[in-house]
Amino acid sequence: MADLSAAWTHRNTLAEALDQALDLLAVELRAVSTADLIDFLGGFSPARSPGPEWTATFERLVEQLWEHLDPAILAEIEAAFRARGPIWAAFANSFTPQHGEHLRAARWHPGGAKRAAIVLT
Amino acid sequence: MTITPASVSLEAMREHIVTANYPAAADTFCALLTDGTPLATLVRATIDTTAPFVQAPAHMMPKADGTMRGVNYDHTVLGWRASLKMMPALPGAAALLPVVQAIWYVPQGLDVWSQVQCDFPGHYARDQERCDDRDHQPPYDPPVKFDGPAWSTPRVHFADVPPITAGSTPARLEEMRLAIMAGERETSYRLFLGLAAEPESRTALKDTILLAGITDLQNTIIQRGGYQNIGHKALRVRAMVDLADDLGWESSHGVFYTVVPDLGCNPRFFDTWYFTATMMPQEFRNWAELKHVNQAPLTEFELDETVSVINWGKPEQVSAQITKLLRRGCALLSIADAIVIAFMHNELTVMAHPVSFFTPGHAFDYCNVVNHWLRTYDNPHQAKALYFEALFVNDVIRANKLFPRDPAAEIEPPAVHHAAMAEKSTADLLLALDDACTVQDCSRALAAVEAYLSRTDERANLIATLCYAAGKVQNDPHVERLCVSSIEEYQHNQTARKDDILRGWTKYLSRAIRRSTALDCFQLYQRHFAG
Repeated sequence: MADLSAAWTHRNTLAEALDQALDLLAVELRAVSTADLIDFLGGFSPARSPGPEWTATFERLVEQLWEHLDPAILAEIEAAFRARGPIWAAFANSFTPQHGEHLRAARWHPGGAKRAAIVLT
Repeated sequence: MTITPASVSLEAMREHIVTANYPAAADTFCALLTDGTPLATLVRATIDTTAPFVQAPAHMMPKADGTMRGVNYDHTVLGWRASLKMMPALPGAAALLPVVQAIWYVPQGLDVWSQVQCDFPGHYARDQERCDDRDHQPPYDPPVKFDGPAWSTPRVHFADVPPITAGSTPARLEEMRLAIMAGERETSYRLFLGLAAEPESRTALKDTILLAGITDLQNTIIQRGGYQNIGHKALRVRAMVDLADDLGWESSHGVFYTVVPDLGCNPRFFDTWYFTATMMPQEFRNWAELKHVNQAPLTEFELDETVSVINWGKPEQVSAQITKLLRRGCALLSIADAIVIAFMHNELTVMAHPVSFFTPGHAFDYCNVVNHWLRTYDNPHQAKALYFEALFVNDVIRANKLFPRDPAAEIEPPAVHHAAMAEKSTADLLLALDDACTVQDCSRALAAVEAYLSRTDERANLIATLCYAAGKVQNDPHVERLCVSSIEEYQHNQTARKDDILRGWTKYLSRAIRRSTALDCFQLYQRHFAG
């Protein structure tokens, strides 16, 4: 029982930490220039990625971008990656209005919860 | 070209094959079969004809910029093996469909080394290298077409050699295995030929040559370009052993010539072999006896844990998981089954882009070779192979993760078809499945197979339907190979999740990228055999 209590306390501590991390991320996403955002996103490409586990979080980043940024900025990002050619299609397609609508429709925000459900990995 | 009765002969077929005239070769093959030439005779004649022309000097070409251009492995022999193994799963004349696909492919798969240099026609030159769109060096006059027929003979990159027969059987087996590891192609092949002629050495020879193929495996494909083999050494050995068993070892020289010299080709990878060879004695004093000592099945929790680690862990965590299961006394085959289920989990829940199936499909086929070896032979090194297959599956999964998912390549949820499938009879579900796989409507195919699996325990007709749908795909022996792997793993898997193998197979057929969507070969089959 003591272990269960410790485990649940651990869970709550990490939830609080994640909550703070996402608030901090939202601030940073809003503060950074579009050019820097595009450069940061390019760091998820196979050539620049530190590894598969980093790239695998790309969709989570995209969710945060749709959560916090103006659609006009996202349209700029889409256009920038679209211009790079077909091998960047996954990047460009992540910022189409249709995909944004899809993410909004899939969002689950339980009653009483501070924020919508978060996918971790 | 029109095939007339006068032009139907083995000699004509051989000529069509070496000139890369695949429609004429396949047409002649079918005509000979219809005229009563035994299938085994035709397959043997074809393999004997192609054997000198399917070698490569290496499977990579060094480029000036320091990268390695990968050179594809011969797939003709893989098509033959798969097509013969699919026959029992198909009823009546349909059993011949995969065989027709195999001969349709063969003339397109010769002299791969020259094909990738735009110096010989075939499907690599035509589709992969797009040689017809290039300025060619040297210039050809008149202009050539890389769809064939050939303007020259395919090159022989490895001349046949006589057997070595001196020495004890155990000494020659070990010398052969070490020669393969060292890249001594001629010596290893000569030793193999000597041993292959001795029926009393056969089981040990099959066991050893499978070990040699299985242990040559890259430790990662991530950012390696052409510097990998994605399990082809093992896949080719399995094909050779099966074909020799089917055609007779005494008359399978062409099969041996096709496969064995290639085993010592560069690149060769033994990192994982040396890792397991070093680690296992440290972890297990009785590492060589684990197959007999370990008898426990995995619990459902251990199965879940293994699926999770292989799908989401890093290589060192995968190795630790296999070690943990072995230390707990889990049976090797139970762990092997779990690795297959882990692969299926990824295929069913993660893979979506058509390209994302290609290399993982090789990992699954590699697992099938390992598991066949575990099931069929008794070798002290077999516990090591669990690390090989688990790490390979984990690696292809991680390699896919290196590419961000494309929202445009997501698959429509199969649930949208559930209502329509609920109204169909089981027979109509199979028709829907065949159609959905043929036109690659993945969502509908998955809905059809799910409805079928939930409604009946019948599986033979389901397997036949998937084989038939696969049999329509031309120019691509991968598709048929994966059919055989799926059938075999389904038949042997002891977990309660074995139906996932059929779901995964369905998803592969209905989604994985194809070399061709044309149905010329299927139509040829219909003309000859389906009325």
